Amino acid sequence: MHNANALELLVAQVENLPGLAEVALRVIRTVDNPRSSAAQVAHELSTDQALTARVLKLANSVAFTGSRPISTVSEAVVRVGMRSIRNLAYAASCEQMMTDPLDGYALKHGELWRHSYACGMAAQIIAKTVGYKPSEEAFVAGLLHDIGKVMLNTYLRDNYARVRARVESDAIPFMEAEVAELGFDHAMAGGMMLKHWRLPENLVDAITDHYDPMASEKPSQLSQIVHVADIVTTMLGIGIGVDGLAYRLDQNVLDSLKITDESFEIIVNQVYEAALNEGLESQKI
Amino acid sequence: MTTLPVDMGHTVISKTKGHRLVAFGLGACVGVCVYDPLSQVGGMVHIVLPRTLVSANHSKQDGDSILLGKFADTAVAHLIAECIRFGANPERLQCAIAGGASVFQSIPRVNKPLADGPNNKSGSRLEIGRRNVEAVRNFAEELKLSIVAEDIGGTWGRTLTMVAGTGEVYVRAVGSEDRLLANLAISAEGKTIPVEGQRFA
Repeated sequence: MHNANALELLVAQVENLPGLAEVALRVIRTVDNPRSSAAQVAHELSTDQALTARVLKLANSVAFTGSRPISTVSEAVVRVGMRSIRNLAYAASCEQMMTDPLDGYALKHGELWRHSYACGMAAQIIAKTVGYKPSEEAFVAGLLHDIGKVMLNTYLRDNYARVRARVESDAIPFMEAEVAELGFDHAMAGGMMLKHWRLPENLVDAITDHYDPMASEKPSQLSQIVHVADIVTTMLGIGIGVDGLAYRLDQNVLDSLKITDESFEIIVNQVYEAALNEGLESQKI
Repeated sequence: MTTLPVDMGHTVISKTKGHRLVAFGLGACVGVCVYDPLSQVGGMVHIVLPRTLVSANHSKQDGDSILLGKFADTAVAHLIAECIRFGANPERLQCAIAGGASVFQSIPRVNKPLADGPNNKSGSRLEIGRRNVEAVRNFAEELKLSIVAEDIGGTWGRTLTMVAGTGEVYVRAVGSEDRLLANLAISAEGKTIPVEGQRFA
């Protein structure tokens, strides 16, 4: 399905991508070292105040509601755990590149981040509904599901009208039009980016498979959660670009997650309320 | 020009010239605008779901007006009531709607027999955009509100704008330019002008 030249080009793009923040990499390496202590992780993170602030904001989003807000790194490590801090450090260091405007997708400044953040919250809500643990992992997967758009934006800048026209003329979803016009889609590109950054395999797979999770040999629950979360966020119109609602909702995923049509509607409402509480319901003007 | 954003679930009313009421990024949501040409009172509501969910947990920010604008079964009546409060005559209100986009048709469930045929209704509850539009039309009819123009359906997001004081209504597909959908100051004598054509037309 994906032609070899296009794939080569894509890999070359991955190599040229901005790397993760140095501090984020140090945090990740520290967490990955079984001999590291929570204090060491906190120390590494504390050397970058901007990243610390973003990680704390994310930690407060994923921590159980109703409890006291997390205000220090050490508290965050205790409350959400070392592994979560590692994932949140990844996510936080992607904020800048996901906030820049993506002309190719007709996404204004901040819109991809708004969509991604809401999708992260949606994924966590769904994870809790279906009993997936840890639910913060779903948050990070939701948050990063469209990271591939950052890379494809370079290609789409001139071609997005062509991709969108293909959606209309062939009545096919946007992902399929991307493959038809570019040779690959943004889920595949996102998966490659996360692999390049050595994110855990389950996150890489969830992002790669989120458009069509059931096509995978072993459909993971995480990719199915992200699939539903993305559709819900898109339906709500939160940070949608030129691709709009041109995605496919696989009812088999709902069945697999045991989400009834009624509970789907309830999830839409819960995501709306969560977005409202986070101030994400409104496009900045 | 002052832009008054009409966020999800919110209702905004104005009769101030120079105000632009704008619902950004309508996906499956439906934006409903009404305008009374004589009093020049205009209003817009940004509807999220077709009917009130009993199980909905109403968050702190969900004040009365937000709540009533969230679900179509309360939003249309609420919009009219708010316009009356600002001095509109409900009988003169002209209405235009936009939004109600859909995701691609779901892949049929493998564990359900195909006995339902091509018009498989299982999962039709998932079609929130279509249901939102139907609900708005039904409540508008019930309340004798005439919808004179629509830009609905499709798979793209829209931004809906109404200019207070003039009744002009514009729709912009994401990535495109504003297009005049209707001028609600000019009575269309209740004739509906459906616009479901080409996105880039």
